[in-house]
Amino acid sequence: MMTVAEPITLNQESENQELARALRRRDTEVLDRLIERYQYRLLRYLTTLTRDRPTAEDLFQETWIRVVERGGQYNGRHRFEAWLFAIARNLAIDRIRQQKVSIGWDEWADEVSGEKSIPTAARTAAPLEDFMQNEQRTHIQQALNELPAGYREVLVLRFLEELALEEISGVIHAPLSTVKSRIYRGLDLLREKMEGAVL
Amino acid sequence: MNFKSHHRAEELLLSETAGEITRAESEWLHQHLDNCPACKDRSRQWQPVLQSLKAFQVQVSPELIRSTKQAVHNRAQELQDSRPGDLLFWSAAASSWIWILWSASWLWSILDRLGNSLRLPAWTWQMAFGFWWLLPAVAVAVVLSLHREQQRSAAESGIPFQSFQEEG
Repeated sequence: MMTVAEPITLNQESENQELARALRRRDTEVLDRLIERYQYRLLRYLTTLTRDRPTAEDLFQETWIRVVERGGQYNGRHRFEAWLFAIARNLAIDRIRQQKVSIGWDEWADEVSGEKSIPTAARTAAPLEDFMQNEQRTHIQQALNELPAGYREVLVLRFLEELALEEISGVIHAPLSTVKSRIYRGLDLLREKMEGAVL
Repeated sequence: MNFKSHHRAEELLLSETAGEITRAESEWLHQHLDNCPACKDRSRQWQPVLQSLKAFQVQVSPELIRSTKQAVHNRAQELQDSRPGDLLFWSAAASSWIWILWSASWLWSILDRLGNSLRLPAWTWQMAFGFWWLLPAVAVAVVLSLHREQQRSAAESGIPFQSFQEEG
């Protein structure tokens, strides 16, 4: 399937500017809408990053409080989600440093989170199909959890959160070439993990 | 096929999955894949991984969303409340300093005359003049403590500070 890149339209730009103004005046209605809009993406990113659901939920809340406090720093020139994920990432790194415990940031995972991913939307699939989908999700989460955090993170940002390579580079404070090589290597590793897992 | 074209194909494969590829790039990529078994193989290997990745979801509990919104509202309110406090502080400080500076020369001559008429030692009325300069700090402290007290009673009674102010 061929997809064609869409340039950022003026409309999007003015939307971002409007959002920046709302964040500056700490508009709680806008904040509520943002929390709802990004709930799955942000929690998914934090869960993948920390591999610990309670920590991810804690950071989820902290991220939004930080958005309220630092809302004035969002200038509206970039996509909001890139700014949001950068905040979430910084908080996650701080938490890892504070707790001084490894949650997979610097090393290969030995343990696999018992958390099972569950589909978000209400589904009407048949039980067998449901079971297979859950199995597939558990499988991919386990495979992701076994990747080093650096690879895990870029794969999630790229293919789940659909950030542009330049945006990922801004979020993780790494050169574009590093982002690309982590994605290639991450995909290969993920494929190996998935192929190697018992089906 | 050279190394450069394989590298470009890899990059474009990634761009294609994220929908960030132009028509011309897409045409080039598919032409390359038709003629390069290695890249085609890689693309084929990545597809199931990418499909699985995209199916990865998490469940968000409504309680988390509710408590997050509540925490965000509370923080926004706190920040909002601290703003009038700052404004009040600086207004009180500025007005009391203006008053002190303006009245200092008058006060000096009044205290001087009063001291002489009551035959007081000079240091007593000069000390009274000195205390006059403490008044700005006292005024600001009184204003701020009244303001904090208002905030505290509003929070305790569960009435938002804004409406408390309006009612008051």
